[in-house]
Amino acid sequence: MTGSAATTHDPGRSAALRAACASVSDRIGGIPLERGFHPRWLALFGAGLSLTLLGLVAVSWLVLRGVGIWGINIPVAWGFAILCFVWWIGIGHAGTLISAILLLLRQPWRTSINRFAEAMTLFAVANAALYPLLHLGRIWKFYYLLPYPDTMDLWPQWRSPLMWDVFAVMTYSLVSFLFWFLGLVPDFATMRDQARRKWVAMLAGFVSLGWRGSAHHWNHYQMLYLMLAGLATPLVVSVHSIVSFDFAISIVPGWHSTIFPPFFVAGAIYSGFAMVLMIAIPLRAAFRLKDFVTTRHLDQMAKVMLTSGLIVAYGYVMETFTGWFSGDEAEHYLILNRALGPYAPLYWGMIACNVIVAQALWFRWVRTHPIVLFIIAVLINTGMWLERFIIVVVSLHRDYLPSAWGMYIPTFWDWATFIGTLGFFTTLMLLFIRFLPVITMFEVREDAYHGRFLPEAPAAEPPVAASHDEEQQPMLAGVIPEEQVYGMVAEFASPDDLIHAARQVRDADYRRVDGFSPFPIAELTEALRMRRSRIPLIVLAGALVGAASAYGVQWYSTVVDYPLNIGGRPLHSWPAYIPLTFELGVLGGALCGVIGMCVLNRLPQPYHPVFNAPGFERASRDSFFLCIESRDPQFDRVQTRELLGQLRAVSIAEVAE
Amino acid sequence: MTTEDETMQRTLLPLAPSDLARRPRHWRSLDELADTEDFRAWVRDEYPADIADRLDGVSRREVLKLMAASFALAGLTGCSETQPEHIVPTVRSHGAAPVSTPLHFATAVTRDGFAQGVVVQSRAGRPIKVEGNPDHPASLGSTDVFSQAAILTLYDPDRSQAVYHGRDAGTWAAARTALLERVELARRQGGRGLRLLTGPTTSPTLIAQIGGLLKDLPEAGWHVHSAIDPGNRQGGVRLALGIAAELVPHVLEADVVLSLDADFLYGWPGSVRHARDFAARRSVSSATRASARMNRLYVVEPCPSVTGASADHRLALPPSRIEDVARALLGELGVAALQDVRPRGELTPDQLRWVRAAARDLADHRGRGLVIAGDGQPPIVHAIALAMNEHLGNLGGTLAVVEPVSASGLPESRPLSQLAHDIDAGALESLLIVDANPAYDAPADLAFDRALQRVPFSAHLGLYRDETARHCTWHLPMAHEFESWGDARAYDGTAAVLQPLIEPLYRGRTPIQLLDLLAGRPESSGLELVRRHWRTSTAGDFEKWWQTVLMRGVVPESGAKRLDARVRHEDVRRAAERAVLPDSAGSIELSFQPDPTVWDGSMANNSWLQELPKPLTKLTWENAILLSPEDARSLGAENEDVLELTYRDVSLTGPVWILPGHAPGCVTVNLGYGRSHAGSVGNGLGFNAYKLRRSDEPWFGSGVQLRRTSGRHRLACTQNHQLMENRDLVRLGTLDAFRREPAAMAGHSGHRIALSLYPEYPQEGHQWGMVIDLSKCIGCSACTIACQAENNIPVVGKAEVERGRSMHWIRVDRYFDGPQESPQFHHQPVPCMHCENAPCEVVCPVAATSHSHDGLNEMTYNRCVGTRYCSNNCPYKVRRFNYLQYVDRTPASLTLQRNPEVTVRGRGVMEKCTYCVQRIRHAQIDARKGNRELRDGDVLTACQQACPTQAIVFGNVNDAGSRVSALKREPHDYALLAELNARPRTTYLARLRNPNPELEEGSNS
Repeated sequence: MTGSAATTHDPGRSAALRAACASVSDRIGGIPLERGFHPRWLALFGAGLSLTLLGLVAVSWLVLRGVGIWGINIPVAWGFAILCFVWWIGIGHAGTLISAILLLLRQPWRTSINRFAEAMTLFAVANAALYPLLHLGRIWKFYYLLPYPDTMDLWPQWRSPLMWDVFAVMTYSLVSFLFWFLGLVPDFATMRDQARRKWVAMLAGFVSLGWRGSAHHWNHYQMLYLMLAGLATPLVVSVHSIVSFDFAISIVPGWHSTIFPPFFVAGAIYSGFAMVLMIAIPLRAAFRLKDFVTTRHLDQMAKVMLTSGLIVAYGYVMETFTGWFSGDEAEHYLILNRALGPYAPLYWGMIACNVIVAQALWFRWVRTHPIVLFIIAVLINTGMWLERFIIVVVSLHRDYLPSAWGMYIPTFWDWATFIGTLGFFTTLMLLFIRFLPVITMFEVREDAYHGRFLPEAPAAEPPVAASHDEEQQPMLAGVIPEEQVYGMVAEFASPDDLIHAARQVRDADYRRVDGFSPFPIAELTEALRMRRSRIPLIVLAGALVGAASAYGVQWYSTVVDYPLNIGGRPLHSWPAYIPLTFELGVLGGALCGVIGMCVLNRLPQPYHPVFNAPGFERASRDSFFLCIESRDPQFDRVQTRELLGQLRAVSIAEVAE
Repeated sequence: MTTEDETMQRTLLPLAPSDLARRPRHWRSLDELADTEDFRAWVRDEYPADIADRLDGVSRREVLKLMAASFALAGLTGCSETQPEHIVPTVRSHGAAPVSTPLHFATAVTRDGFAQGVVVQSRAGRPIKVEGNPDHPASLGSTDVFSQAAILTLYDPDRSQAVYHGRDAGTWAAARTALLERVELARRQGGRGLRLLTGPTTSPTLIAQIGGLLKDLPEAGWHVHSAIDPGNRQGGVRLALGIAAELVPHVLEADVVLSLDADFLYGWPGSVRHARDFAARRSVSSATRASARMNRLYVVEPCPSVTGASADHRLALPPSRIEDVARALLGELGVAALQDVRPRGELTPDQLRWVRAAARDLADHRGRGLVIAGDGQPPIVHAIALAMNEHLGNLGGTLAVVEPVSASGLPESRPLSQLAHDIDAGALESLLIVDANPAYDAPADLAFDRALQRVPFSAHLGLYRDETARHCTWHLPMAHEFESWGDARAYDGTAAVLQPLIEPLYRGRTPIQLLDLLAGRPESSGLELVRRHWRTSTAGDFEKWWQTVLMRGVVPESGAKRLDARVRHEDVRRAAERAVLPDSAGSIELSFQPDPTVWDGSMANNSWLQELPKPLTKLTWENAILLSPEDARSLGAENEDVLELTYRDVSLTGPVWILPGHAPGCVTVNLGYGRSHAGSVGNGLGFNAYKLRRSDEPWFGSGVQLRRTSGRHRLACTQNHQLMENRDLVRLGTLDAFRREPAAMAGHSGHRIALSLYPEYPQEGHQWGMVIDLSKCIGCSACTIACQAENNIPVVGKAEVERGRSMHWIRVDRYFDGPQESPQFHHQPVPCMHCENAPCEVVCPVAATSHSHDGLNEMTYNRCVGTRYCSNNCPYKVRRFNYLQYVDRTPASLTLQRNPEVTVRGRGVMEKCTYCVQRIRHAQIDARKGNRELRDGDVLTACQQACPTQAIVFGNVNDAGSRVSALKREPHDYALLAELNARPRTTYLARLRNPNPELEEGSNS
């Protein structure tokens, strides 16, 4: 189906592929380029914005008065700010998980959901990252948590899980952003090439970094994407593990538990997938994308939810068991208090949502029924919110000394802040849906190429060959003076033709050859005999530098620069330094990888001679090009044209520098 | 005169103008701005030169604050008439101490007229902290909550700041003229129509002045009114002994103490001393366990009190039934002359068993027992108690009979009820009220507020423009005790001289100054008046004597003379025959008690006291209807349900608070709340129980009707959970068990868990630690409020307490143990434990809490960003967070109280007990200056210093010879939650009790 058949010439298949590619580009890429706003979108956006404003009022009041406006107290010093932080960051796990882990696991069904799942991740993480700031009340003090140069030689306290959190969330949001943005780059190129308004084209061109879809681009790009996936996979697991350390490292009964890291990660995946469903189901209905986000997708995601839900349920059982088995009276009391104490309704609500409701997912009918699935997703996210409430509040409100027990009752401002973040999330999601391609177009095209995707509706535009016929304009080539010729560009109707041509051209000993395609084609890279990308080395170097500097700073600050007795722990508390070392390793690797990719691909590069090729705007849509540069020793204006002419090129043109 | 005396005298003299000229002139530039003669004169009057002197070198802000306060005053009161007086003597004879050095002055704080000797620390002319006076018999260096909080009242911006004539501001000059006119008018009739009403007082000077006035104006009258009236006790003594006398218990010598509703460990004039004596007999070490004679305390009372909670055996009975216990005891003891005095009602077999055991115990300890009756019990109970004490040979030993100390015990003083009667009869023309608030706290049947309006001329001298002030023709601001010269006697008669620490902030006058005014003399200074009084009663070199008295704070050998008195059994028998059980026996009784924090209501505007959790209920800011769990069940009432309480045709509503251990069949209401003119803090809190009080039955009565209303009223309680949940928090044992097996009490986690993945952190040099002896702690909360005063701890208000955000650095946990009807009460003070493996430190992301080299768990306030993780990870929950901006930056006067050595925390910052690090560093600096090692006992934490029972011991745990080390070696020393391996530096000594083996082991009923 793939490689082996590539060289055979099959006009029907290539027409279908081109139609599929064009359809993807029109239907996905067309959404952001539309003019005007749908009234329903406007209504939703208005609602989201109003809630965001409510949140802003709550935040302003918080800044003016302090965290005392919330219901927190002693013993429950953490309330909505932390539980919503954990909830949001849990939701923010699905995107990168889908992008990274499913990529590594070669789950092709990820392609049509990963873009908006990643966007959802970013927005959820943005909301999550707000909460630690708000949690302080005096948000202007946040910079104390950063290792900035300080005249007093003060350093953050690296043994605190909150420090790990700062770096984990920072790394996660940066890497997630890079992941998301990188995925968008080829799609921005599509938008640039399809835009009818000049400013939109310029804007899209700017953020596309001058992406040309060249085989070199794709070569480094694909490698980087793989590397990022490799880095992001442990990162995803680490982030919620570290968030769980906020609790597990403490000595609070109900928090101090070794089960927490896997339990939290499973919970994060659970709620993350629920949120993806909560977005995917209305989205596919609103934009008629049921052929992109198929019932199979829903089914698969429901299965992931069921699996992670069962792990979560196992976590509940194990928590109860270990609590009982510990023989510790505070742990014993905690179990009883969860189930029978003043917050018992919330506990049973959590069990109902997260354990009982989820069992419906055993049935295929449920898994493929969008409305039922949507309701289950809402319930699961409610249940996960309750779980965080129970972990944060119920554990704190009755711990070791009964004399210090208390209750936490959220105030108006607690709710206003939380609802504000819901509004903010909705607003960002709506903006994303309206202004960015919600599905990764180049990957869907790749799927179509591999025969994994067939669109329901064909593209509106006529076949590409009819739009412009280079053969009819041979004089154009002659206009370009010899010394200004950059190279010769040939357009092909199918990837197979392109691969075939590339192979032939290389066989003819041309070296400065590049192919251009709207999706990555492994065979093309191979045909052009490109070297393996050196991105992995760059990533490794970045990761090592990041990790070493993280460990070095921690060691230097606690052992050499400002030794302090912190809780009787040794100055060199190496186990506590591991999480940060890991996080900064990932961050260093990811940043260096992205920078490396840009350098190797010479991006951003807004202008390139190949853009002058007639019809080249279709290189990001549904057409395939080959360019032989004039710098190539073999290049000859006549012979090269002849060679290309023999290789089933639809059109051939020279382009100026 | 020696040189030392000269230097001392020097400080009493006005500063020479040359002194002033040498001082920096920055603040005086104001009068140069307004360069008029009048203005200059005004500034001179407003700013006595020595204030300027004392403020010299203080920040400009301080000066401006004071300026602002005085300018505000100027608008209210017009011109000043006081002459600058240079009156602050020092007990340390430094010629001129730098402002940074704290100075200490011995004086006294009075409550119900009785003195408690204190030493006040003064900084740059500002008194900031009260400590006990080790030389004073009612203190021995310790204090109670009231003395600790007195400093806040001094700076209370709601205190009366001006003379009022009706509703208008008046002047002292006009008031003086008006007063003298009335006195002159009365003098022409020999004093007829002139009455003086004072609060309770023991001041020798004042009493002598009043005596002089009465001699001068024989027809005039003197009434003494106290809401916490000692009339029952005085009546009982008069009944039993036939004389006016005061009873002075010596708790230290008593092996067996029986309290008949007497809360002698809390609130009594000598309670700090009694608590010290009581606790001294409660502590046993492994070394002394064989020979130790721990005392045994039996308490019969209706409502759990501090004393009842400390009892080995406690019997809860409605107040009227306590007399029956007293009668039964009398019978059991076999007092021959009173053998026909029998209980008026049946006692249950359990109660009888209790009475028999107690009686046997008392009889077994002849001369070493003590029976004390409370003021709430009628005279007959006091008389029976005296008869028992005499029978047991305790009279003259553990219970001394001495000359009356308080004015209300003097023959020339008359009660308030007679004054009310005389007003009704129209016999009054002028009434002078000195430091009393009868319009608020007189029994309701006297309707004193209305009576007051019928008096043609009335003047009120008081700290506040309170309910009484508003019904008087004139109101005159009174000086606070820390602004006054005066004198007062302790519970045993020992006199102390009160000396001022600061110029009157609001230009108030003292009672003795007012009395002097009435005598028609030109206004003299309080100093002169006190000196004049004492000069007459002192032989020898008066100046030398005076200096000694001021320095020690006690008048030597001034204790009340012991009287030799015999019980007049016939009178007692006859009185006992007359006393019959009230008809309405069996109905619900109502018991009045002074509030444990605001007392009779006079301290209602003191926010420290308002926010201090009441020892047994842990309620703050309000009073409640206290009742037993049984009665609550039968009423169907739960905590915070609003009840309507009807007693003798008067109804009021109040929230319910169920108190385990409260006697069924009665409800208790605390006095002191429902104030309408206490000030901005105290107004409108709680309900006014005085509205139910009758002069014939001031302390209890029967026939109360309770009705549940649909209302609910939220109460601010600092401890929501009362049980230990079978956790090993307060470890218990009996003396016998301790003798048999001393280590048994330490429990399963008494041994050190040394298992750790981490190497031991070196603990070298001084390492501070604390031991709290739970056998000694009576839960009086003096530590909490001492800590608040020392460490600038803010008050957060009722709403914030309700939300669980109170800020006290040391809280006293109180647990109920055993059956709800007759629980045991355990108190456990919990400060920061200063754990060696502090869980809080590890989780702080910014190193705002870290460990010092000497083992302190420190907070770096300006580094704290407020993640509050440390609090979550603190298993003891001793960390406190400034959820809002709690510290009041206004009014300026309150900021004057703050300890300059302790940072004032802003919002968003975590705080907690520091082991009084400022005191540690102070002691270290002093030791270094003296070129000596720090000695054990050089550092006293504020809680330790205040503790009446000396339950808290602090010191260097690395010094094997220190007291704290010795206590930590005790087998019953244990760490709270030791299993967490946080290695707290504060540990506890298990609570040892001494139950009577005859009564069931562990049971206290």
